[in-house]
Amino acid sequence: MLAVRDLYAGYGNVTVLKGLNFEVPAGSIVALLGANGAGKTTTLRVISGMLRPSRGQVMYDGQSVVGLPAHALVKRGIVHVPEGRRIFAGLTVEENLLLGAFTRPWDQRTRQSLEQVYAYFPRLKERRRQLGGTLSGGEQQMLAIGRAFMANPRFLLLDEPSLGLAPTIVNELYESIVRLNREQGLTILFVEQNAALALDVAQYAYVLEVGSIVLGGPSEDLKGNEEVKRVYLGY
Amino acid sequence: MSAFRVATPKPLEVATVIFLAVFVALLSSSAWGFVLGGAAGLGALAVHRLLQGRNLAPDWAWYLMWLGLAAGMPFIVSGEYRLAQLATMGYLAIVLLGLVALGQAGQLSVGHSAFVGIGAYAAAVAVKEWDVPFVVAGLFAVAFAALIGLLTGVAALRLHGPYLAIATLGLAIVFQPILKLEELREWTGGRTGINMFARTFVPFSDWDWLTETRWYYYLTLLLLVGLLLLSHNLLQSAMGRAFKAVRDDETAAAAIGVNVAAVKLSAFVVSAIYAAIGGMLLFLLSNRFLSADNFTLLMSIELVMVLILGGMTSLKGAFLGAFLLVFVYREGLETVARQTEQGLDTWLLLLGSLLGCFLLLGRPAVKQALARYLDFNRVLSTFGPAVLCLAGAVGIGVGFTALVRLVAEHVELTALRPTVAGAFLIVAILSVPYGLAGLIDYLGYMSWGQLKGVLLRLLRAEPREAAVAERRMPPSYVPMPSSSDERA
Amino acid sequence: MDQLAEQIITGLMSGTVYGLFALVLVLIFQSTNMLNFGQGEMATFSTYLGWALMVLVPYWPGFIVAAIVAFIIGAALQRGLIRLVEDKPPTSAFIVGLGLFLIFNSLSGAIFGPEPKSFEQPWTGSPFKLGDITIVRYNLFIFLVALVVMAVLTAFMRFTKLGIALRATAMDRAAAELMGIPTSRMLMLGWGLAAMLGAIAAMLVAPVIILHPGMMFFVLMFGFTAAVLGGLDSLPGAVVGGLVIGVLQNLVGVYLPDVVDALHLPFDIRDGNQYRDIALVVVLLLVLMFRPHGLFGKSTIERK
Repeated sequence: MLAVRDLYAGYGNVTVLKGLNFEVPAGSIVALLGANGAGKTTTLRVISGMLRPSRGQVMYDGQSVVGLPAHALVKRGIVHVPEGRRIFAGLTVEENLLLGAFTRPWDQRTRQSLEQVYAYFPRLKERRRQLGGTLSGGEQQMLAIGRAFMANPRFLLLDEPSLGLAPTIVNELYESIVRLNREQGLTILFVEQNAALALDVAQYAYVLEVGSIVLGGPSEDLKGNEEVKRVYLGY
Repeated sequence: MSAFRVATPKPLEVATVIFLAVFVALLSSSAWGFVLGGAAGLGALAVHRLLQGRNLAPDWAWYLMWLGLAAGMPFIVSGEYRLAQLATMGYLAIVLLGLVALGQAGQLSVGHSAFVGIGAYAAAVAVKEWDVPFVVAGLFAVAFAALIGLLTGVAALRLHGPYLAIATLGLAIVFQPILKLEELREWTGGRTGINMFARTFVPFSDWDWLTETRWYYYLTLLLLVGLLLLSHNLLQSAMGRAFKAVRDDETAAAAIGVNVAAVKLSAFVVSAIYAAIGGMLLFLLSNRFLSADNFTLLMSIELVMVLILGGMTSLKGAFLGAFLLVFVYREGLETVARQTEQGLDTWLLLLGSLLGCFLLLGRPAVKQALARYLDFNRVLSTFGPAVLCLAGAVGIGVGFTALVRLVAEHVELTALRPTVAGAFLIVAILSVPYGLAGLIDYLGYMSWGQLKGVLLRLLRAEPREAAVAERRMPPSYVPMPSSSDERA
Repeated sequence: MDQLAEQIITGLMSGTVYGLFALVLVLIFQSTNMLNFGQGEMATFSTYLGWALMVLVPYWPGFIVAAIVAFIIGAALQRGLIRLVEDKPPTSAFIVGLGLFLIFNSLSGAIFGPEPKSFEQPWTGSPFKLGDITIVRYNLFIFLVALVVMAVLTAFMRFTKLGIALRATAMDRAAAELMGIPTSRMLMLGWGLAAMLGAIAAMLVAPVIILHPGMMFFVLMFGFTAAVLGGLDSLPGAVVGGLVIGVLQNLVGVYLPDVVDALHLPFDIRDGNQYRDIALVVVLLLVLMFRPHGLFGKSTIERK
């Protein structure tokens, strides 16, 4: 579904990604692992069109999507849930969700999506009239994912969805993510600091180090890898 | 060979000598002025090289030359009007020096017309009501402005960027209605203002050569030099470093023990005092006639305009700003408008082509796009775009001329001066944020070879990455710190 | 008591215009992070256009066409100019606003002449009587038009897809972009809307303060004061701030001499009307000193 080929990108004079190559098969959940500053967020930003790469290709369904603005990619089904959730604090929960469906007409089908989101995250339904800024961290993350779902995506990018959340909430969150993948057939690429958790959730994982992939493969294989064990799983 | 290299004048030095020759010629309206100005510049250059060879501080050659020239000006200029113009420039430079100091502390005020007015009115009222000598009146004006500066400064203390701008806007706006209050009419003269045309403030009336204008000119010069030295020392001192620390990051400054509130307040009061001294001189220079209508928001905005165009990061900027306001904005644009109305097209063509150059040549993207079409051989693809751009710029100039000609049938062109100035202000803040002073500093470090390189780079179509890197602005340029919400 | 009620009502009515203008300033500040000092002059210029149109056509067509032209000017400015300052420090945007101030101020004066002009005043006639309270017809007109405009704006912002997207863009541009919202077009729309509302406010006050190139200096100041009262980040807050200012202005104008008398202050005030604007600046400074985030003070923005 997605293939990244020889990608270089950075900010100003700093190059963060140095020749990145990886693939995300359709219908899978894929995790990106790596230390701070390895380039995980930058990778997601390039894929979703927030950042222009200086070199290389991002192929989506066999077509290059480099250079398209972020809002055009949303129409093609690539939706990015950014780090820190980025809820519209001054809009209500429902307005936030509806904005997720900005690229679609607001009609009966959008209503159905809205109901689906409420089914996945019943807590959002309770708080539909509340301002986004008044939600707790976990609820905000649910809102962010629900909002992304409203765009009718085929490919979802999640940047550290567990950031700053309590462990029980994180588990709940990942259960919903896995359900989205299974029931809706969503392809998901996510960044996660907690490597053990990520390897449990994902079918495939890639390890990023200073801007390139050093390791990749099915999660089970990575779990058994000595290097990964030592550096990321901490035994 | 090395001795010769030292002697070769740098681009900036040559430009300065030419400027001096032309400027003095203009002021004296004679060819002798050209010779004199040029000679002064070349003389300073020669002394500079002598001092440089002996490891002494060579820049003093230039400073002393400027000072000597300024002192001799009353005997060089062609008439009282020119001298009054120079004195006006002097008082504006004083006001701008204060604003530069304020800018060093990271603050920008759009209300300093009020402090200029306070200085002018306070001095006038002191003389009128209590009949004190002018020195006393001046001190009173300074003290009064400092007090008001302190009061508004306290209000502005906790404010940051946008809030401070709004507070100072209030000051500028409210000054006029206060002057016009019925209850204050005894002092301020209400709507009619203060007129002391008959009073002169010349102490040595038996010195024939010291005419009134000359006396005011020297007074301005004296104050200007004194305040310049003061500013220089202030900004070099620990206080000046505290200013810059507050400008760059208030929290960090507080963390290393800078009293942020005291710094902001003193910067504000200092700038108010400078403005008041300027205002006091303005009272003398404006035939001792004051009217509330002179101190409007527009005056404040003009001050900020020349502050930005001159460059608010160095003291040089104050002089350049004052020069721009008096000789370019007021006289230069006036002349251009008048001559254009009389049917001369040269100015419009020049102005329009300059605009065209900014629009076409200044943008790497345009050149790159053209280069793709001209990819037949190397020379053509490298310099062809620039030639096309220049031709296009001249085309824009012609179009601009035609447009203005069309407009000029209905509109008085002199009234459009601020339009042109506003456009230049916008272009300047987008392309040369350090103003003229920044450009001059940039040029000052350059040798002829480097200058050639810069010009060539402007003409050449460049690869994309390099162009992007170059457009980035240095991050330290934030005279008014950002408000707290950040954008990704 | 009736005089007090009358002053308050009159104040509320003129206050709606300040509220409308404050709304404009907040809209721009929220979406572009820029205090647009040129906003008032842009509105003045559009008002002159309206004045010129009304020589040819009746009031309403002239009013509407001028508002539409203002929209186009605002949107075009965003497209051609404001976009360039987006990635620059806020000072740059501020200076660009001052440049716009100079440009539009001098354009108005140069094209239409510096002498004051009288702007057409619709719906004239004898004032309304409500018991002992008199209401000047034109004040009521201002009030009603401003109210309708605000109601339409509120409906647009709350219930339409475009309006919600506009608010989202103003709140967090990057996140809005990720929602698939074409944010640069939203900002263009925002600028157009702001310029249009500014022009409407200016055309409403023009008959009262007489059309001249500097007519919006004070209104700009009132607008900023109202916006600061509302905390600079809230559209309803700005409107309430405007109302407060309108009432305050009227009360100072009428009651200040009495208050000074009653307090036995050592001076005398003959005409309170001179103090209307001065009092507001004092209020502004006090608010900035003690409640920089407005009277309704949500302190969500960190104060530095």
